[in-house]
Amino acid sequence: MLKRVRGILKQPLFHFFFIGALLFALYYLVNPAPNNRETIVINDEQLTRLQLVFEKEWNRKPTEEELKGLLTRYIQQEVYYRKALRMHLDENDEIIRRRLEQKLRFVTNDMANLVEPNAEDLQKFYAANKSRYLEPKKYSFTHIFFSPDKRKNPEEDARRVLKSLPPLPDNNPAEWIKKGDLFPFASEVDSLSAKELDQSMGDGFSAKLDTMPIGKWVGPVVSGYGSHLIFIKEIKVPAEKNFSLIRESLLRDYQYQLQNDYNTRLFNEFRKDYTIEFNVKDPKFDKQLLTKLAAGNE
Amino acid sequence: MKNIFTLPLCTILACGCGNEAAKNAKDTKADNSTATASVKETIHPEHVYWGDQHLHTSWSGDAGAAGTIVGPEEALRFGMGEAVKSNTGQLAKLHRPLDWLAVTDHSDGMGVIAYIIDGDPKVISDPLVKKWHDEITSGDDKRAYWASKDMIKKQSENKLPTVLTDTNFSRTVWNKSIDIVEKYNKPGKFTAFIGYEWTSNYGGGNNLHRNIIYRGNGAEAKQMLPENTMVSADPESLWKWMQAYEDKTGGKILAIPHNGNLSNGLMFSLTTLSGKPLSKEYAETRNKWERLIEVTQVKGTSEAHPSLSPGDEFAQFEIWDKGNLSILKLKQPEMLKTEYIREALKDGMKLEQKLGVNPFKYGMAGGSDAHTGLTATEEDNFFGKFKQSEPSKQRWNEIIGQNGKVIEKGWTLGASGYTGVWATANTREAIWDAMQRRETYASTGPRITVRVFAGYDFTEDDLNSADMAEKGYKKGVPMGGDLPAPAEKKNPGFMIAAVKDPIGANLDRVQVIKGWVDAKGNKQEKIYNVVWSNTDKRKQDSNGKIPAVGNTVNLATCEVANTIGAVELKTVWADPDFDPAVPAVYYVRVLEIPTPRWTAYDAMRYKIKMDPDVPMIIQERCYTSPIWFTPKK
Repeated sequence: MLKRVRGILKQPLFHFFFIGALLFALYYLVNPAPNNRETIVINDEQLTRLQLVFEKEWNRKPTEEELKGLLTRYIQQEVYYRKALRMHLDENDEIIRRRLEQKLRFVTNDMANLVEPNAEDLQKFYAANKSRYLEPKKYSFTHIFFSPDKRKNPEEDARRVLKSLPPLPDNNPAEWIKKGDLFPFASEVDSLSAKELDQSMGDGFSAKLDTMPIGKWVGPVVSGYGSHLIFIKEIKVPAEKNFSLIRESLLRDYQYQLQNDYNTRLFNEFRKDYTIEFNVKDPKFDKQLLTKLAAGNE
Repeated sequence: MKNIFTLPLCTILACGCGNEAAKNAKDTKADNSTATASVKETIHPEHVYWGDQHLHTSWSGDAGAAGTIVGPEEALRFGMGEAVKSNTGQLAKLHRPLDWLAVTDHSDGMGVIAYIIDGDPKVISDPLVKKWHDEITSGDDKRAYWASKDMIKKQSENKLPTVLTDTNFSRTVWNKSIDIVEKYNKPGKFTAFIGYEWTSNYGGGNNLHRNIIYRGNGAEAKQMLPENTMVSADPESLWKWMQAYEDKTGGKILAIPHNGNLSNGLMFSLTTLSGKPLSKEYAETRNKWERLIEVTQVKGTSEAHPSLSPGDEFAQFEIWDKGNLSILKLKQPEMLKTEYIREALKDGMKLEQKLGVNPFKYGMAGGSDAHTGLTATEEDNFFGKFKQSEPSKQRWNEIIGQNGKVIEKGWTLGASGYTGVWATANTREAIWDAMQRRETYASTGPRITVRVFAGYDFTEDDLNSADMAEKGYKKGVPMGGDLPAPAEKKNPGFMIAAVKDPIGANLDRVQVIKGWVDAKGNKQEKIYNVVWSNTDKRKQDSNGKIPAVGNTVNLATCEVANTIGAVELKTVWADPDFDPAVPAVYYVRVLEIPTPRWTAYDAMRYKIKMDPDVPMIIQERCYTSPIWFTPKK
């Protein structure tokens, strides 16, 4: 007997009826007066819209049969949709919440991209964010490398070699490179930006050069690879870029900022319609914690 | 890093793109055509460009459903090094920006085949589509199969009814995502590739995913919608679509498969998916479209499996071998043979002996496969796979896959996957071309610089000269290449140089991994330790093994002392066992000294104690694209 019950429980048909029964129970629970018939109105507008969508894809009017198909599908979807709404199936559905949030954000984003700023707007944006668009600081130098793979104390060795190098301005620093070890990358660095330099030599390398005199051997400076004696030829200070060269990046960043601004402004606008009320009673949330959580959220 | 392994500074002013691309560039105002024209290309690759060819954003259906809100625009800004708010509201930023990035959201979901199956009147008013609908829903497998085959055929012939290729939603999403990518592609500074993921879970969870990377621009890519897997989950159908794309647009695309480890034996199967023996045509087609393989990513590493390579003490690395994707089906031991890359490289040579073409001639790539929009795979800055695995106190212990009693937990995720590309410039064209010739390598995270050249005349002087790379290109072939037959009886030499990540740990050792097919037709492999650190204390034994490098990790602070290991390891190594009569494949594996795994950083930061089986220490590594030797017939 038990076996048979189990057998029935496993039947898909049973599942179907069971779930069906549950759905109806739920439905009647949330809709105490089930006989409110709603009317789905098909008016000129609906029909025209169905026809127009079809025409847009096919460049012709739908046949009678096709229109009937479109209408059947429309009614089917509308019935499901309304029924689901009546049963409040949309509420607290995480997917629907996310989708609706995303949709609203799409709308604000599209609004931002519709705005073609005029030259004056862009110039203003540029003026306010100039530091982000500067031609970066650029470093040119020669260096002698002291490898920890080859020496017990590369820093000490570097100090010793430094004493043997000409103290005065040196016209041919490259000839001294051989006083150290072969560096796996370039020994003569030409016009590398601070960002590139830090990426290739390790964090903070460019900042170390900033404090050093130009035109003479100095060091040792420690990189991600070992110790270096450095002869800085030139540090080019950040310069303004030609406006026309960066117009595209400016426009992109302007619109991105506008998107974020719209999102914030719209959110604040929407937020005004709601008061947040805390009604928390569980003692596990003590008063102090609640006050903290509520701060700025009421 | 300019002038890596210094080359003379002879640069040429090149357009950085073929005529085709230049022509198309005019069509999109976002494609900064003036900038492309002024990007200098070097004669040889001088620079490793680091990037991720595999990233999902909120626009991927599964990511969006799982709570990802970081979209393609934020994802690109994050890759460029800007701070972005993560899906859990934490501010996220890369320690170092990337040089390039491909956002590869799933094509499925943009697709239209669901409309066919549903019998949406919008599409089935077309008589052909109506027929397909009837066949698919007939309940008869044979009829459904015919319909899908017919779709592929029509699709590859570009004869799909326009209603299918022009359905509004998918086109809107595809075009929108392209517009964003175009805005962020800045030739010479940051390369943003157009791409998508073709997500085949053949037969239920058997991972045959491929990333499609476009060489061209938006105007070209918009001409066709991405291929989805509802048409067919067989990669042969994807390749047909790729051919159709190139025929129609004149552009170029390539496919990078990933997660062989989750394919339950199908990724490098020795038959086609429909069960037929591999043909020459199959091998040619696969070889044409699939130049790289993603060897390491967040869902495990697919280089080698300990059971297949018992002699490899480093094979037990971020292994996922419980089942296929989401462990829908459990793993059977025989499946392992055709899902790991080292084995596939050997099988490829064996197949080439029979077919005349190697279907598995793969170079190496790494990718994050993050579904968070954040390509953050550093151990100390790991933003996980989904929103649920973004930094948190409990992420290590969350169940991320389950089949009965078999459970995959959050801590098994790997903070892994970038690709280093030796390219002549940071442009779509130059990086794509380097991928095409496989001059790439995969890293599990650190940006180690690795050069490999194979030839017959390399000397110690070449290795120690300031223009080592120049000599490498002149006298040999780089990673990804084919070693020609020796003119006289000579063993091939490999000129190899590896330099540590400037902000990372020292290097432990460099290994050459050789696979070959012996005279009897049996697959063989051997691992050579060719250069290593601390040689005063570490001597090679008669089996070629060397003692472990040691460990300087302090788990309380997550600090590593670079008192062991080396900054640079380089050598010219000649294969002592070379036999010019048999085919062989060589790739290089570079290992760092032990460093803290992301789980160690979590344990320290959140002050938590994890289960004893959670690994806290890792030996990060790079895998270079192989170099092949094929004997003359």
